[in-house]
Amino acid sequence: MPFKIPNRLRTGGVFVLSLVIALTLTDCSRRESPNAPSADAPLSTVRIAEQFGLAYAPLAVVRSRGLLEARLPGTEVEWIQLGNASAIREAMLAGRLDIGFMGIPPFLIGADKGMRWRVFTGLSRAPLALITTDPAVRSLADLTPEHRIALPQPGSIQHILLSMASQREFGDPNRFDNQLLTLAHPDAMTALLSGAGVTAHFASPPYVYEELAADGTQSILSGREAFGGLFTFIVGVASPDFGDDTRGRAVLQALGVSLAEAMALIQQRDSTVVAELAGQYGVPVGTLQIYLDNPELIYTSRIEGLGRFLEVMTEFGYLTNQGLRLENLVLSEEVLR
Amino acid sequence: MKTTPRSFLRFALVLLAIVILWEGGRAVFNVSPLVMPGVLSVLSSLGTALASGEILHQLAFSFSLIGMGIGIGAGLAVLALIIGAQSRVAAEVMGTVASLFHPLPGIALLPVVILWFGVGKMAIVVIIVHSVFWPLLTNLQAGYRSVSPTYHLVGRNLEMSPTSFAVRIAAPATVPYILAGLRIAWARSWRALISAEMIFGAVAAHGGIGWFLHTRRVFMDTAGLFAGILVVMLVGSLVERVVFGFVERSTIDRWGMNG
Repeated sequence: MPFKIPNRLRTGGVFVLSLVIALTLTDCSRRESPNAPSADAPLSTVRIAEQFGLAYAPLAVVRSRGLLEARLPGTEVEWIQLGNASAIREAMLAGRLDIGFMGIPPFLIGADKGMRWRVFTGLSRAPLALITTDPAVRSLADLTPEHRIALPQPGSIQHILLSMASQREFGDPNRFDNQLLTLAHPDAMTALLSGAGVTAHFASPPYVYEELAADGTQSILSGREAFGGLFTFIVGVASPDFGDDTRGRAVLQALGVSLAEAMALIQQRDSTVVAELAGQYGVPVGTLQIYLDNPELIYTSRIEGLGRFLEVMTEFGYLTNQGLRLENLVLSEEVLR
Repeated sequence: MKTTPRSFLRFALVLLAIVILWEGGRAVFNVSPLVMPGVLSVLSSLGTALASGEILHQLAFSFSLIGMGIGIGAGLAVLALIIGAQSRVAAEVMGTVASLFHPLPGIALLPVVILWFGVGKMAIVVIIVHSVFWPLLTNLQAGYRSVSPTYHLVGRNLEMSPTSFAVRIAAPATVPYILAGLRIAWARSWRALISAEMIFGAVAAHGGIGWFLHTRRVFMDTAGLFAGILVVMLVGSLVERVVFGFVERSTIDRWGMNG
């Protein structure tokens, strides 16, 4: 080394650097409740995370129509698009997010690890399906260990549904765990349809429609068959402590009413709303109409299947906290009715 | 870099300072263990993963992919060097291509790699080959160019055949460049592998260390996540210091070529 820093200076530098790093890290966690309850004034900002997919359509309408902003004068609404439930969970832990939307299993995993977040609304039920391009694969039993199954990630709703089906048919929830491939839906669809080594993909809308519309594909398991009934696909989750004070409750209430309005607009097939959604999902209006007409795609705030997911995920060992009670997982038990 | 008692002491002190700051920060700011787990719980996670053989198995898998990638990448780089040595046009074309591809992170190629090579082991190997090939080729070419004209004259005087000249004079003279290239290749392939495995990797049977991190993340095992990060840091630094250190000491240091 041509330039030598004195040893004492170097040690000091390392020390200061570690201190800065440690403080930066801890700083994030101190903001867990950035909107400290102090006055009755409305929250200055509320941060909401959504993911991509047709199941989030009411949120997209609330956002593009400014429905929530209209109900919360004086509050700035920040919309954030995140790629998966883990990112939402981490953003909430870092105190950077107030509300997030995701599948029930990732929510339960967080609650199991001691995160005091709660579901405040349902968003949608949706047709999920395990789709294959292999004509020789006509059912789960035809999948050999060499076949690869793509899904968003372990612990996702798709993974738990696959485990439930495999438990029912073969008495082993982990039968397919060694042949999973974690791919985001668009990549998984590309890999499946281009014959790039993916035998089957557990898809959600709109990918489920696009894949089934392609040549030579078939569904070998529907989400409903796997679950053994109806279940909510996406729920709205309030970050820990959010909604405990009147200001947070006001936000959640306003969001609930806004979502109901958006759901009604979609239900009525409001032409501007349909055109907007078609633009967002990059499909022609006619195609979006067909997607929305699927009787299994239902937007509702009612939550179904939370208790059953809690039960099976505990049975399969994904949840270990025996203290989880349904009533502590929701902000108000009304959504369960 | 030699491991002396002094440097070991310094290393231990830095480690101790980090642990104290970490635990102190946790206590002072009352941080949730979901955000910053305690050092002890990280170590106990690490112990469990080591004892079950899980992490070793995954490391072995990761290393087999890197070995394959570096092997193929190095073979291709030597081949490219030989072709380049035969014709100036070929060398110039290769230089241009290298300047375009060298800065391209392997992970940026992932979508294309999935389309062309599917999603198996092959895809990860291709990404590693990409991150290994260009730095190795660039270093090999620089090394080849640096062989002093005097050596060429000596070779001619001794009436050496081109092969004999390459093996007995050019190759040893290029070793510092080859080692520097391998160091970069290793660092880049280790990064590329972990990113690729975190984006897609199969569970258990075929997963590597990046997959270990990914599963800890999705199941929200923060202590396990930090244990995995520790392993990634330790392995990276061990290979860098111990493996490369050993090879350098037994070659270029011994030959007095390390300036």
